[in-house]
Amino acid sequence: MPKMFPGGVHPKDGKALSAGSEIKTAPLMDKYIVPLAMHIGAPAKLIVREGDKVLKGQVLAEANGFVSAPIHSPTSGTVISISKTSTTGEMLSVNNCIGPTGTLIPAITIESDGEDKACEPLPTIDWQNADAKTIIDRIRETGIVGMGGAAFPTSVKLSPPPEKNIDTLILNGAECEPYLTADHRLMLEEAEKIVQGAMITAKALGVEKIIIGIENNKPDAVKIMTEVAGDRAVVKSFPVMYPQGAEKQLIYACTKRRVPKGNLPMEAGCVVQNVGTMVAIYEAVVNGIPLFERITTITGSPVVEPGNWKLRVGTTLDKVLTLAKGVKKDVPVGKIILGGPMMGMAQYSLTVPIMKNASGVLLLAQNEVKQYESLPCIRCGRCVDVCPMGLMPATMSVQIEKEQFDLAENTNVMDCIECGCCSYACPSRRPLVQLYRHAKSEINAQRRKNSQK
Amino acid sequence: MNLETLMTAVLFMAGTGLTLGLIIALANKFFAIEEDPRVEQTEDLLPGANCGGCGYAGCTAFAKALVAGGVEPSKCPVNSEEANSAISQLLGLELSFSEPHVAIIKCCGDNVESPEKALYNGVNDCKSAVLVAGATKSCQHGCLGLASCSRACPFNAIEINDKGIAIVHPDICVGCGKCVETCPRHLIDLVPKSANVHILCNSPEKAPLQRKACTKGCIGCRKCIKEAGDDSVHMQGFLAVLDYTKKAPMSIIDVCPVKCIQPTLGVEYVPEPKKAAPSVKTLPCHTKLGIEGTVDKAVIKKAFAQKVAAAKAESPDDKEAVADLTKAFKAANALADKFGAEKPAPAEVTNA
Amino acid sequence: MEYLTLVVGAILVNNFVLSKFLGICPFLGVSKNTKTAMGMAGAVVFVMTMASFVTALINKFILLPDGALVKADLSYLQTLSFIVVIASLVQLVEVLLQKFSPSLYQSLGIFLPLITTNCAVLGAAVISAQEGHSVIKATVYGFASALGFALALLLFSSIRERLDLAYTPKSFEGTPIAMITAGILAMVFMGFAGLA
Repeated sequence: MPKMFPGGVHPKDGKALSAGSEIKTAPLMDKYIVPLAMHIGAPAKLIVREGDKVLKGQVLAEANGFVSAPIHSPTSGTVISISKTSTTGEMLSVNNCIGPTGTLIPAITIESDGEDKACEPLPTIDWQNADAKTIIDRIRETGIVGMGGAAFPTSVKLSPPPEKNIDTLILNGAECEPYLTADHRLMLEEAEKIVQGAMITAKALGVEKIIIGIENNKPDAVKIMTEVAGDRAVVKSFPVMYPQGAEKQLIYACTKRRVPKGNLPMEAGCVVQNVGTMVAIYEAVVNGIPLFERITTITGSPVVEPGNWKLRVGTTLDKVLTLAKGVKKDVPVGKIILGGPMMGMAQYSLTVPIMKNASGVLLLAQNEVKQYESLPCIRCGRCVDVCPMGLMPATMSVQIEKEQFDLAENTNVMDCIECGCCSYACPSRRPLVQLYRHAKSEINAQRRKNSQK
Repeated sequence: MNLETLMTAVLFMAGTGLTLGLIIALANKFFAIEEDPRVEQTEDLLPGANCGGCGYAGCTAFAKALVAGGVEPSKCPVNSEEANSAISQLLGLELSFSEPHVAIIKCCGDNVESPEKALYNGVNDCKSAVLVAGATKSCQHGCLGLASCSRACPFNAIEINDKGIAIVHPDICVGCGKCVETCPRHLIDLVPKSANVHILCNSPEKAPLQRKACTKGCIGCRKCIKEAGDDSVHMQGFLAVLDYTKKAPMSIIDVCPVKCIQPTLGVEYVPEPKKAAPSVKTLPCHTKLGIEGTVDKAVIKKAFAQKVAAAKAESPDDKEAVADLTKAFKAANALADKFGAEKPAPAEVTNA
Repeated sequence: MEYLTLVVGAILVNNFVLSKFLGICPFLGVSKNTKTAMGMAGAVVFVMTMASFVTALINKFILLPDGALVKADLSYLQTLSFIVVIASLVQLVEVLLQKFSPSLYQSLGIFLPLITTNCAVLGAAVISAQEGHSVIKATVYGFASALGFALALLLFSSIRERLDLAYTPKSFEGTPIAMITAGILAMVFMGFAGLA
């Protein structure tokens, strides 16, 4: 079967390090630093105060607006520090934490009391007979966000405007990022929960058709999901190519529909969800448990014991590394990445906590990374060959370097999905994705200024 | 060349000229557009730098706005006073003076004081660097030194010094404000050109974390507030902030323990020399009283009283000893009166 | 048939800018931006065509000996009268442009009145006069050479816009690299030599 989209790259797979490891549950840590902004949208509003005693699963912060999600406590204990800002509204290091993008973000610190006492779970919903609103309200209440990495509040995604005809739910089991195996193990071990979660989501959306997309470097997952799904969902497997798991590429591969330029998947009548989100929805609706844990792959050549762990939100990276039994003595670490090597963020501090969307903690050895000077564009065209969206990265990068953002907008920089294929392929080692991110923020700022005029 | 040919030539040229002139005159009449000639005259008086400091798209747009009314010529930060008054005269506007401003970058934590905590490879632009891991400086609020502001300055007034932070040259800066929005950490402010002392830190962190991040950052010790005495310096959380509407004394530069308060670039701060304490040599009258040479009358009085009491205790009838002491007391007092007044500072003495 | 040869010759083979090197002033001055360049090209086409037409008329009926209106030989007045005609045509274009397209008028700036001194316009008129073209032929020649000017301007401004985004060495930025490009473009047009 040929690949299902133009371009794409084949980075080193690296999944063998952790693909065979069963999911293990992490032990209780003594401190959890829980960020308030673990989702796209407004940060949640604090409702606890310093010194309060909280139980596992208790609401710490409420959703702040429509596009927002509540935050729940990962364990029982005492709130020892809450997010504070200076008189000019700036974050202070002492009460907040360094987020995955390296800037300070608001956070609460919970000191565990060792008992791990849970609060009363919410009542089970008979989803087969419930209406969509009940299910979506429960999803919102339990703080479920997209677990694939984007962390978009799921309740918002499942409430599209009524005029859009949504008829298909697509589950993203592709996991195209190298090194990450969390979704793979989830499909092997919790297939039934995934399918039931999908049924619940389909009920909430009012759709009949469920398609599960998996890359065919996971034949065992394809086999198990096909068996378990039966006739409840269709399982499709695709040839391995990064970024097969990107939304627009996955929709085309599963349904042969294209999302129009500048639009969301709902325009193509589809909603895409990660398999991890499905499990979270099952737990929320059937067992009444809010979202404060996720499966994360801890891997990399310097790590002593790579594996897949069920981590609670707020576990700091230094504790996460102890779960993998630390770093090998003779392998110097070059980079620590939250996420995968293509779209993840390198970290400079081990005090960064795991958030709801941290799919992997990847360590790269020093001989696997390079310090480099980026050189001018030589117009070789490799980036144009590999772009899955059919853009012209070379032209855009030169326009952005010369600060001609309106020219870049005409060359469709806003359609870039920031997958990283162009940066991966560039022989001059140009920081292309960073340039496009910069251009997007400048263009958005300009649009905001224009709309205010 | 006979007269006839000459006349034909002259007539021809004259005729052509007249015809064409008529056509152009007609065209001007029918297709003329009303343009105020003052717009062009005003534009000639503007500097033509198109820096946008006035808030308009360029010098032409500003000239149009000036003629249309509702804006003052002093809005142009580049223009000299004479040019502004010329514009005011031309357009019949009231002349107003606005204090010239310059930009200042509120950070002195260079790569020695606030070292990098990780290696950064990527676009060498401050706004882009902040998108990736918040850039790599130890201080979360400090200058990244990747020259976004320097590139934005139309007058080349900002440079990155050899220690990796940006500094503004106030003699070149005209205060157009183009650099202010380029800083992702909001470190650039426009301050009056006459201000000669600045607090070069914008970090709101508490002292223990601040010291870890940067050894030159403000630790909130409030010494500058005590020294200033008035409210020209006040605290915003743990950060000292100047109120530029009041003139802060330059002596706050000395009292800052981390040296983040500095004079304007190019202005030399010479601390006022301490006045020499008045003193007098140790003379026999002082030795009799048992003290060193001093102009402090209180000390002399106390010593005299002590000696008298001791003498009386030793030999109550010895009137000579008391008389001796009294003479010494009077002499010491006279010396104190003579030399007790504030002596002029040694520097001036030598110059005189 | 001879008109076709005339037109192809004027546009490609003997391009006014790249082969005859006339009209370099607006070629280098207005070519930073393709929109402005095309505006200038439009103005030049109008002026050159009209100028060729009117000057051919004047030449045939007045200046040459035994003309319909004047019998004497006034051909020494060619340069003078041609310039007067061209100058007034340019003035006319200026007035019209200011009225109907003020933004183009602003962006052309000083180069609009400089069309008067553009040697391409005078060149077309004088060459027509020297070659003894009929009025119609002169007009066609003027129009075709203006099209050749427009083609050269279009090519050059497009290249210059791309050059803005390229990594030119600091000492070559701006005019130096533009001149080198113009030279290479002239060499390219030499390839048309055998065409007509």
